[in-house]
Amino acid sequence: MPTLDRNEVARVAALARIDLTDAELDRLADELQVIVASVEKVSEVATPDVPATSHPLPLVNTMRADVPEAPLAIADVLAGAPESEDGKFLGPQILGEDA
Amino acid sequence: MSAELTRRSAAELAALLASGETSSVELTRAHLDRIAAVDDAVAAFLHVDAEGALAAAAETDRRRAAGEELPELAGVPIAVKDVVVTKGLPTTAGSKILEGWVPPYDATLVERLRAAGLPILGKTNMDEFAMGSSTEFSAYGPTRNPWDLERIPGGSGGGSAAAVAAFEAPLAIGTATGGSIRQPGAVTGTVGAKPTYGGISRYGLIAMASSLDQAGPVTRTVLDAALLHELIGGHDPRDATSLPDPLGPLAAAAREGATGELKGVRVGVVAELGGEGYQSGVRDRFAESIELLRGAGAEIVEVHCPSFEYALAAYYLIMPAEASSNLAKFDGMRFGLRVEPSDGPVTAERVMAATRGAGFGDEVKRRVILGTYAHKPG
Repeated sequence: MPTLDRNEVARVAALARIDLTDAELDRLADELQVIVASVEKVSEVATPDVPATSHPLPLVNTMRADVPEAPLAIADVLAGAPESEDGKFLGPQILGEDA
Repeated sequence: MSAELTRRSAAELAALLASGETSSVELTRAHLDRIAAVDDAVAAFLHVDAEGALAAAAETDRRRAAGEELPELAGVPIAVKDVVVTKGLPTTAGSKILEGWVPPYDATLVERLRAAGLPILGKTNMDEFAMGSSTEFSAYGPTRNPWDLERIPGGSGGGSAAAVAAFEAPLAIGTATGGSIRQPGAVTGTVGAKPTYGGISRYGLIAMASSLDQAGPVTRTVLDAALLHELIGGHDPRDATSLPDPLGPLAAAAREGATGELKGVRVGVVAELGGEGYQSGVRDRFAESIELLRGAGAEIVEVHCPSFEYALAAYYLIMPAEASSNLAKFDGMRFGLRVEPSDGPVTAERVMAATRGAGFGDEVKRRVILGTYAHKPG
């Protein structure tokens, strides 16, 4: 079983967009083993020749009728946003200062 | 009268309403009084909406007085787990990242409750984003078991189960991914059912693991659970996983079962769940239940699910993997908390990481990290 270190956790945390403290990084390094162990266990039966199952019931996406409905009022939606301007969400810049 | 009212089942309350012996306003007030009396100790509710509940109750009383035909549970108050969005009522999913957020729309099941005239008493506590089995991991503090305040009420829907067990509400809504309705039901001596996948619309549920999440009833009797299930279930065009077929006659089945006659009912007992790991007494009580069913005329058959051995490992992959995707939307841009990094440039990416680092609790961070790792190829 591969061992997982703090750097691996830090890389995953960056992908997940979560700032973690050093203590959190250390704690999670051990816990990632659960995923490794679970993959191994499931792989005993989920071999490549087993077709993927997305759902146990014979149900495919049920589409609604293509009828226009009134969307949510913009003001109601923006009322819960951290910041808004001119009827739009306002976020920080996407790129750094130098871009 | 008020104390007696809160002890009644929802079906009994519905009968009192239908015969004019009580009003929805009286019922709602009785439950609000009960909440005021005990919820400091139980902490089942994150938010109580006395004004909204009483207004809805008055409207249902008016409809009934006008001779309108109403669903059986019309006028019976209900509590809703805080992972279900409610227009105009705060919805946090037990997380600081959604503190103060007021949804601009209703979940389909909430829409159905409102249309049927059930006053919503408030929103119930839960483990953050429904990740837990004890309701100790709410960012707003734990809920206590009304039977013994030193014990947990189960989770993640401990708030809904405790509210019903403490007679603060005759009915509540729960949601379950891996036991969050039934386990608190067992721990608080109440009734909870996880419906067949697709049986109750999930439109407006804040998702954890979409392959597993379902909403369901939390009550004190099986008949109440069946009545509530029928009321909120059925096809919803806004949920693509919603079953197109109508639900079976659940309340009729519950009434039939309540006669004590179970001839013609076949009950399967899963052989693979008879193994080790149970606390002493649990297996004995289970065996007693089987004998009670057999005594009432039910046919007991052993069934085999040989792949159950792999279920926990599969759950440990599916649940965090889907949770990490579903929780990606909590990024500090469109709703809830936004936190700027303490130093360095204030870019969108760094604001997202700072917001999620500050707004998510330990268990949520753990599952999102595990899920992100599980998604990693190779």
